[in-house]
Amino acid sequence: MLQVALFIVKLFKIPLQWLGVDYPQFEILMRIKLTMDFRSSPTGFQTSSRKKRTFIYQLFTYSMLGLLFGVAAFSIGDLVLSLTIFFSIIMVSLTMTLLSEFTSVLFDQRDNYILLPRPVSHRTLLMLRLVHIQFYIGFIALALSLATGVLMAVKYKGIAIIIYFFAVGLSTWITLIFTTFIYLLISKVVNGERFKDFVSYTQIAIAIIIFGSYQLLPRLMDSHILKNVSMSFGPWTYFCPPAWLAALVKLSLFTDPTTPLLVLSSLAIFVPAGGAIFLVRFLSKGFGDILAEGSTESAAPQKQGTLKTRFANKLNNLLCVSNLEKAGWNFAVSTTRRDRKFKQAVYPYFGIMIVFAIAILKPDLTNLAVSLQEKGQFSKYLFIVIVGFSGNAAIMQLPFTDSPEAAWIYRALPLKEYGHIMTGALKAILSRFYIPVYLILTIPCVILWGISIIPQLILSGLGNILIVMLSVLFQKMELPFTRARDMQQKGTNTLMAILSMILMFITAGGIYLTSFLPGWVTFLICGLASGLIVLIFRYVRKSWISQKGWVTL
Amino acid sequence: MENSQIIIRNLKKSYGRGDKKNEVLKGINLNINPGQIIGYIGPNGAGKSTTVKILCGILPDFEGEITIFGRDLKKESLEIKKRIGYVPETGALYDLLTPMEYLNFIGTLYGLEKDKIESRTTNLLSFFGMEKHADQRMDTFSKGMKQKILITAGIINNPDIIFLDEPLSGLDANAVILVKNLLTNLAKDGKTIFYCSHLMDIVEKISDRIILINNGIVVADGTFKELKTEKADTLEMLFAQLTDRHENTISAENLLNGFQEN
Repeated sequence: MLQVALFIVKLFKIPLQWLGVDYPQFEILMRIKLTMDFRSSPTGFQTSSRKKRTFIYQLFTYSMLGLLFGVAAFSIGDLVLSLTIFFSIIMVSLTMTLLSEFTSVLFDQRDNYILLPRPVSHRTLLMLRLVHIQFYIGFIALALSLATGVLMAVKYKGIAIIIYFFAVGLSTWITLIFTTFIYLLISKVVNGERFKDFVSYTQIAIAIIIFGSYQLLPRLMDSHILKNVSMSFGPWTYFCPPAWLAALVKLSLFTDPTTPLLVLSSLAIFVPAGGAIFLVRFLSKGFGDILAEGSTESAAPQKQGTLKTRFANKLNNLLCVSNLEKAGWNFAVSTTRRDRKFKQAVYPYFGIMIVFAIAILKPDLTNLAVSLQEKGQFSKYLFIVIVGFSGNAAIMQLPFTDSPEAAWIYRALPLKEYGHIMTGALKAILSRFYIPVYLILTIPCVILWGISIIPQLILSGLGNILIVMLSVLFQKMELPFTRARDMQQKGTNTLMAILSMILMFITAGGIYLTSFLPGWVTFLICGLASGLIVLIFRYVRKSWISQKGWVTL
Repeated sequence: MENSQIIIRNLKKSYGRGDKKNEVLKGINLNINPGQIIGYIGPNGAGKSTTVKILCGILPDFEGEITIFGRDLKKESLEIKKRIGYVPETGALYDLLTPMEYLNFIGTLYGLEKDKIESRTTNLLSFFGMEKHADQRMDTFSKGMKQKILITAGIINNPDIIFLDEPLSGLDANAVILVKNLLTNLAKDGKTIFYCSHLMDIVEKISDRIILINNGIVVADGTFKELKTEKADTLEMLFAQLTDRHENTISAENLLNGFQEN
């Protein structure tokens, strides 16, 4: 695999040199990076069988998604329109993957001390990162486009299929170039810590917008119209990369090569090439500056929030049962407040779950308030449970860190009751992420459905805490910030998401049933749920009795 | 002055902005001649590592002027980097590789020919007694073994100036002697050695010139003989005197008394 990748890279030797890349350096850097990936990363092929399976599972999932996208897109009569929609889906999926998983690869500052003191130009470094990422998103794009490729092969045959896969390759490159271009443009305006914050919040916002569009846009479209519609080449198509790629594939069928088709196809070829030249020749210095920021030392100490800190301290004293639990709380709060990657993993989840919950409600977007008020009981309880559940994502991120080696402190401490650290951290995360979500959720729920919803709101809040605590128990969650973030298995996450979904439905069903009961019975159930939560916390405190981990009592 | 290999004029560097701004270097001026061993010392946070990172081109954003080999660092950093070596403070290496793979990689980045890389790698690994580990993955290595590879990678291109940030960290006594001899011989060969260390006795013994910085400015510059006074006849004492350690910190005795009271 390594040799194949390097062979493909070698095909681009002359254009790379023309871009100002030092090819011998580029080749050895690429070889080293891929060698290390294959030895360690979950996306490598020659690693442990578990990691290998995870990557194959990911590719399989993408292939299935691609099949769905392909069938949906090809249900439209017009080839250019269906391919435009298909390439849009591919590029949106790749953008999401780039934002969530490959931004850290692009701006990886871990090897600053190895590469920056050597005579390696910014152009070589930038191109290395781009091609390295292209290698992986290329696989993802291939998996997404495989099913449609088969459909194309059956229907059109010949050169069209080659051009189709060429267009898929171009779609990954355009996405990569465009995303990097935006990042580098941002870096011209803001730098340092602000740039990192900006990138984080952009990632979060785009993830929510894209997910929201996925869920909500199809509701605004009429599927009957789509079946019979054909695409006209309006001015907007010249600014729409998926339309360029669709035109390129259409052109390969040698039918009716109109001027718009020729212009759009040319754009599909020349914009990615021109983009690469512009990026590498003119913006690579900005890229170098971003990398160098990673070698800086910390600025002046941060000011402590006064009112916020006092409130947090009071909550800490109220909810924690021991000094060790308080220490676990403080540890979790301080770390999650500053860990950017933690925020990146958790914050989009809030938005995504809210959009998902709204999608479940299937509101009439033209008359939102009225349609929500008239919703059936079950869907509104499911809505409450799902929104509330978004506060739980933070807990699942609790064991992960970029510096797992710092976990030696747990082994060095002369402690018997490690469980107190665990429960302290869990309480901190619940109070920091979960309770605020619920308090905010209460306002629209009471406005829409009246105060009679309050017992069910409380019950769903407690139900969600029960779900997450059961997940903690069944997963035998490790102590806070002890596992490498790279070890987070995406395949397992999908499984957990499905299980959580089932649990959410069961919880919503249970809450729906309580709506038929008198209010005092619901409060009684709330009391029982609270008791159960207290018992689970106690169990966790007692179970984590040694540094070896969980001990079944 | 004309002979100077490194000329630093009014070097300033800040981290952060606004009320979070932290000025680390407040105007450093230095001339460094070839073949000198410079001991660059100072308390934690004084700006030693920042100076070295700037000189090696890791931090390109700074105020002031730096000329190395007669070239402007801001404009010609690639040409300068070809002739310098750097041994970082942190154990920064690709430890999933073997020493052979890693050193071959670093050598190629400097544009060295394959046989030259191979002979230098073999010689340097033998010098440090690492030849039998040449094909083992470095993620199993101890801190000292990794440090030896870092030093090897720092000089594989036969640089004219070598910057070392705490080069003796993690090394055993035998390896310390080896490195000390290596540095002395490299200097005799006309190389400039610029190194940061907290090991005052070693700095005192091997440096031709000692530069002490505190709070981002140079507070002492000269040979140990020139710098020592009647009250401070060791580098350690001189260091304490010039960095106001006695005024700003509590004594160990008071500290321990505090422990007992609590």
